[in-house]
Amino acid sequence: MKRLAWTVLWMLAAAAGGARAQDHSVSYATWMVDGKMVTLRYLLPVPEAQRLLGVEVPVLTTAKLADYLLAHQTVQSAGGDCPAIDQGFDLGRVDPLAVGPDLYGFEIFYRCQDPRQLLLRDTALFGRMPDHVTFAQIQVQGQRIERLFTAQHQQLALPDDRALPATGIAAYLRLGILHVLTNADRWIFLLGALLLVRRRLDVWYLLAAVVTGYGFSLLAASTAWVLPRMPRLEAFMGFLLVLLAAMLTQRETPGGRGPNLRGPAILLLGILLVALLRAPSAAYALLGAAALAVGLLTLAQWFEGRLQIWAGAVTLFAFLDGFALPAVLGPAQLPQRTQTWISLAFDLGAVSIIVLLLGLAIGAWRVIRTLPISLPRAIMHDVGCAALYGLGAFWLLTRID
Amino acid sequence: MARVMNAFLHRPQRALWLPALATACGLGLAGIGLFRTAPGPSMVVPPGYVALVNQKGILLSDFRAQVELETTKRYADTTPDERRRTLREMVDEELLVQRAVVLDLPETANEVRANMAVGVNAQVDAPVLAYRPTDAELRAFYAKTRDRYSLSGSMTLRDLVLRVGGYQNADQTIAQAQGDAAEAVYQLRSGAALDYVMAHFGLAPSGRSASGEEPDFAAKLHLGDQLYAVASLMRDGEISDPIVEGNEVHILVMAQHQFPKVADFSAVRDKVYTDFRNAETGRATAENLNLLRSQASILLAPGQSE
Repeated sequence: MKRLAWTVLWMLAAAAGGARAQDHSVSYATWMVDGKMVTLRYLLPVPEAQRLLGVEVPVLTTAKLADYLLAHQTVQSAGGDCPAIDQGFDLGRVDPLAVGPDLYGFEIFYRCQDPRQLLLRDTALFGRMPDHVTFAQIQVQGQRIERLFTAQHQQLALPDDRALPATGIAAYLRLGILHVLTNADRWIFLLGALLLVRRRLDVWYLLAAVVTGYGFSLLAASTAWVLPRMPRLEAFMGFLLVLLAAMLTQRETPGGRGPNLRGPAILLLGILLVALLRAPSAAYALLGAAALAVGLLTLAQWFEGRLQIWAGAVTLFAFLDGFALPAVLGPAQLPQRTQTWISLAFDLGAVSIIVLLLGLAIGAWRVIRTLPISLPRAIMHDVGCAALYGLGAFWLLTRID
Repeated sequence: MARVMNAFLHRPQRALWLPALATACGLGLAGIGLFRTAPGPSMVVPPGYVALVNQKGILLSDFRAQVELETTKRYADTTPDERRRTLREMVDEELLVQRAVVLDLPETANEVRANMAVGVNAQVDAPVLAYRPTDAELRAFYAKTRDRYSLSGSMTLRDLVLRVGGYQNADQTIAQAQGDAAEAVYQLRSGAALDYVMAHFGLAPSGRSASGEEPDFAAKLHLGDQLYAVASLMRDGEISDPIVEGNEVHILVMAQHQFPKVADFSAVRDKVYTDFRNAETGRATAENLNLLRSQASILLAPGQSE
């Protein structure tokens, strides 16, 4: 199993230059249906808009976005296309809204000839970002229903004779699965953690750590007491990757207690120092990371062979990753209960794909173990660790704000 | 407690406790750095407010003032129905204001922009307007700007004219007319009767002066700049030199002239007070704009200026 993990990490090292974790691409829509009138309120995060249009000047971005949305947000009914109506003054058909510094907001009114067989179509961004997700709320007949628009589901037909069902749990499970699969740092961390597994029982520790981490994050998110500072949190996950590499180095490096601890700790603290110079405002997080690193590395050495301290780092990683969805749900203004259910489904998706990935890795290891090949373990260890250090430091330093 | 201290003071326990403590501290510090407290929605109306509309408060003091304004009664005398109606109107207004903010009306509607500009200026001017200037300050302002407080003068005069090139004196030149006029002026200054001189030299009223007293500004309007410039310097009973204007030669006879004079402070104190406040609010508005400009980034397109 370790051999396989080393191999994969070694391959990752070769592709480290292009290793960028996937950014979340989301937008928010509220469709309000009132007879023949359909109102769309659409919110798009500023970085998303700038990435889409490649324009930094807000005025130009707003104007271009308005035109873009008009072309990609449409409504149809039994009477044919529902045109966007001119809103008077000099607004035109798309009214820019003031929705805070982090978002662009727009409002479009559609008037239909016939209010039956309404079909809402949202094709914005999916062509350019296939993993884009629009969290939509449909307000119709006094009900508010949560729906997702994705590259696979770009239109929504509103039934005339029954209530519109909300998006099922499967869609959110799928989001959780895609979240892990499309974010390189997530599964690289898991593969790295697999390298620390020595016994069959350790696999269960690893799984328990993952489940515990996501469980705690779900609990914390459902209280709505705290909000994550997302770029910094993602940077911290980069640090955890470096910490994992340090634990590996510590365990694999021959020598007494002192040298075992000193090398990885110095390397890790050096990376944190550079991050601190780059982002002094993140001092608390980085000081915490330093203390955590020293504490965990010392404890790992103290309990070597008796207690799996690395599982703590895995729990923390899963805990932080559990905030990935709650962090982007804010502008959707969903009820807390709905948010919790969505997060639960998302986390279940993430955990299930992690279990599957680990199962595949273990299965592949069992197959490889039967083959008559011998890999240069020491070289692969060093290269694998270097890849973890490099990728972790890269993500830490590029994401810290 | 003693056991904990003992653990810290002796190896090998210390070697275990310290990293555990470091880990706990690290988690705590990281937690502070990675998370922030969520602003929870307020589910109760705080003291001093009558309502929360989308977490925006309506002040109790504003509510009471609005109730009294609408009912023209003291708040204590108003009925629950009147209060309910007023509160409903205030909530409606708050909803509309919030909607206006979302629609970015300050950027898109001229009326809103104008009202906002007026509102900001009023806010800037409020402290200035609340200040009551002392008499010493008003007098100092009056001394600096006394030109503003001059009382208008008046004059009673006759404008006599000798027209050249008319039917009766077709061959007369300007020079000849000037000579006749100079002679007429001489005789008038020597005490000759006005009617006699007019008849003798063919002088006629120009029709550009009133029969009685008229204010300076009216005289200026009627006489024109050239004649008024002469008239404004003449004293009572004075006869002007001949003044050539086009084909006419004029002689001004000033019966009475009251010159403009600066009003005494006590006579114009109210006007000084108003001017002082206007000047101060103008200064405050300009200072505020200067401050805003100093903090703003203003880019003009090529070819544009302000």
